[in-house]
Amino acid sequence: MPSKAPLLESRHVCRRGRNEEILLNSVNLTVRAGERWAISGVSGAGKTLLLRSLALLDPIDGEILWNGQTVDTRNILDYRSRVIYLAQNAAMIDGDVFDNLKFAFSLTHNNESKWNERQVNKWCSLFQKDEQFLKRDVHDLSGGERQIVALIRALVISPQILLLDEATSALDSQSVNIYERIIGEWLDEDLNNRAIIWVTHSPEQRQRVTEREIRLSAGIMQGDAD
Amino acid sequence: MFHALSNIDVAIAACLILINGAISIALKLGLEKKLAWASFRTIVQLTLIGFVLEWIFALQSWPIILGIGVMMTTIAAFSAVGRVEHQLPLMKMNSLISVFSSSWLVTAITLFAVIGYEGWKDYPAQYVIPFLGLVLGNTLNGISLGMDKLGDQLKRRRGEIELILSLGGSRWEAGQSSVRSAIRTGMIPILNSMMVVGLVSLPGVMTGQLLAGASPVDAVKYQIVIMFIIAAGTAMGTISVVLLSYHRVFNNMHQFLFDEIQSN
Repeated sequence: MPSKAPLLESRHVCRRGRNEEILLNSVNLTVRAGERWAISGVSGAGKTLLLRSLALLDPIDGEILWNGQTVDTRNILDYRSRVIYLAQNAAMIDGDVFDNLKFAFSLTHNNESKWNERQVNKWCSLFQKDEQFLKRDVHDLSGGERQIVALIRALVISPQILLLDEATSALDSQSVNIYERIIGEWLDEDLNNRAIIWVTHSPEQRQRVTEREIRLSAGIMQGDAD
Repeated sequence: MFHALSNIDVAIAACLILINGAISIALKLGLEKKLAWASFRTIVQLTLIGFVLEWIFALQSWPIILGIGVMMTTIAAFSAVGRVEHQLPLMKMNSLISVFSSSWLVTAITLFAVIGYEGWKDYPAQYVIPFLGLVLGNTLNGISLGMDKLGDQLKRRRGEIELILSLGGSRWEAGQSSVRSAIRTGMIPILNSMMVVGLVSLPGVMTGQLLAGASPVDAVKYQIVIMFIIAAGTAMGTISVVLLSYHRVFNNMHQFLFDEIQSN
């Protein structure tokens, strides 16, 4: 079977620090639809920086291609609503959980996306969160609950790639299972258009949810990942 | 009716500062030295500016007036960023652009459109320098407060800003709450003083005119003009500096350049 066309490609992506020191060095990576990547490496190896660079949240040298086209000032907003970075410390918008889940629709770029209440309720109930949960002030949420909100908040705008940065670090093991199941089902729903890249410190999780691995050491990719 | 003060009159007033000194010593506030230094600077700075103004008023030369104006504006622009806690990129440059454009524009509108060139063309120095000084003093405050608040908000809201960007939000959608909050903060002092002007204290310009023998109604008209030009100058300067700074910390790839903000 011929391999699928690349969704996301990074070409010679470098990231420099405040003093021009090189933090990520020439990362070349090709992510095809249906792929489940893990990024591994010791703390400080550049895993978060790589995910942020792939989401183009920071200025980089090199380029990122989306469906074969360079991402630039014209298509960056579209790109970011398709390739969503989920930070370990999930930030919240002031308000309640429901405000947060709907937040992305208030952004000009997403205002044509459709809000699917049934789907949201299904995800919430998988996490055993009822309607009361939607009314809770985000300031009262635990770190784990924030990670749940962050996941659903991203999924509602139908992204194509999720960049997960230790996204389950604050969850109990049961919730981690549910989280992984939701991601798995989401991916299987549209294997021709979706992929994940997951940073995790847990080798077990890496084994459960990913198939391919990028190993980073001091900002340099080890081995070949094409 | 204008009664000029003698040096002895000034010396008597200076004795009042001794009361502050006595309080400081009695309550162990430790402010005596600062108080003495501040009093000394008040006397020296004002005396010097008195001589400089005498000289400028005697000459009434446009090049000198403009030169002094440039100097005042530059000092105002740099001191506006002096005590700001978070350093934003190109802050001095942004402050300079904002202070210059807002204060000179507002002063020019006042002198040419409100008062009219005919009314002051024989004494440009008496009009240009005090008006510019009034606008600068207040614009400087607005700019300083606005920049401080912007840096603070951008640092504090980093998570929220990056979240908005990561969901496909534009840089404006990500930065607007910080920008708004900064502009609002810069405008608070002038709004407050407009709310209580005349009720709590008589503003300086009006007091000066009353002392010089102007009728209260005339003095009030001047003061109203002054309040409005100060408010306009502050608003323009604050908005300008906040928007310029916003453009330095967000690039056209809609990236938030957090590393460019440095804390003192």
